[in-house]
Amino acid sequence: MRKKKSYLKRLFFTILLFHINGPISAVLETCKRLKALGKAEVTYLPVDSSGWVEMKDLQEAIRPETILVSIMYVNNEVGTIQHIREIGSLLKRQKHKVYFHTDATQAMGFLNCNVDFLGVDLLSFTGHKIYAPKGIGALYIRQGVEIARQTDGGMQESGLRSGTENVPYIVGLGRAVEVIKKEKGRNQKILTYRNELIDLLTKIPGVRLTGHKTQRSPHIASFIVEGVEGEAMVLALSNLGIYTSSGSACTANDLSPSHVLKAMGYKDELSHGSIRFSLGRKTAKKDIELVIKVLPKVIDRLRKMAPKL
Amino acid sequence: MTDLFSKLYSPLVLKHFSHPKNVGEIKNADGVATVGNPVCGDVMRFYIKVGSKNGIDYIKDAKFQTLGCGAAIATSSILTQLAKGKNFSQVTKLTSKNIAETLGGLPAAKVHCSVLAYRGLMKAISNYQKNNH
Repeated sequence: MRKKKSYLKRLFFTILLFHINGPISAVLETCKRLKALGKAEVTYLPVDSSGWVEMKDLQEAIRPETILVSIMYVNNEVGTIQHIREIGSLLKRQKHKVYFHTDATQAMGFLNCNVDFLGVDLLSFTGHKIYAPKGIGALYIRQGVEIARQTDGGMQESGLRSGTENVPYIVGLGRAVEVIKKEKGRNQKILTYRNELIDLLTKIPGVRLTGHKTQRSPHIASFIVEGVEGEAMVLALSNLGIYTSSGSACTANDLSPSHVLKAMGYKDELSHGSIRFSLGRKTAKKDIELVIKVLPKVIDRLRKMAPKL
Repeated sequence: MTDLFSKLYSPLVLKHFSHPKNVGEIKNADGVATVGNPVCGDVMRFYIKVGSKNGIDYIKDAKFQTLGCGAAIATSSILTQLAKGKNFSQVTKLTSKNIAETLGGLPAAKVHCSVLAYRGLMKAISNYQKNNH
């Protein structure tokens, strides 16, 4: 990001970040690269056990050199909703301009993403989570915010991203957004199913919900299951036609456990037992009933196979 | 996702995951060993019962208990199957590579599970040898 001529004076700028894991490695990796190039300092904000960024931690972290704060609206792993609007207000009260970016991928279609309501300068999201074809996303840039261009060439997209526009996908994204507006009843249904899943699964001994209890998106429910490994659960469920994911190290190519759960204070041995459900447009009552019916048996079988420690 | 797993795991690995052989404890085991740890996400415990044939020790029975991913369960299962009936010198010649090959291959990220299983069985044999001198 450049701030006209003052960029040269400000060799370092700091970015405050809460983007851990998930699809937002795009943000994380970009920051790592900027840091490696000596162009920026990155501060990672701590979170509490529900995954919330605390306002006081944010305020304390802001320095005169801070130029950008980037915070995920809804955490993709546990579903916790950040107080983006409150953060936007806090940033407006600072003595100098701090740009505010949020990734709203998991919030689109569920929460208020109006950029003025949120008080953001930049908002990004990927289209496939709202059923646009995979391979298209969007970045909202508030008027007056200057971005360094990503590619050189024919100066498409107001000179910011040269390269022939992917017209069919752009149309697909637009259509996906139109469809959201029409599907008003969907969220209530998803919320009901999610609550049912949470109520019944947490009745299984040694199963805990992760993420905030109430400030959570309607479509994500992630749990920690004691005494069981996550990938084994994912595999067993997939054999039964239920497709889930896990923050377990065994599911990652680099064998590292979920950074999200770690940041929330969960020990590695617990995060290995994580299992995540995400509900969508096609989720039906029978899907929830199937999970409720089979998951306890899967957990039981895997627990019986484990050594007593 | 089944596609993902079938591309990730061979049919034999999937079979040993869904229907593992020799799961459980041996109550009066001749050798026991635990490898791995919950922090890493994989823990395996091997039990062996040792018999003697013509004065040579061999693995009469082997059981396992595993807390771990699909590959961890499959490798411990197949290892106990491979080990049964073999004498110690034959078991030592088995390598983690054999385990992976017998299973029809393992993804690169999962090879360490076969190594852990092999170490576990070796440790159980050592445990027996220590108690029988």
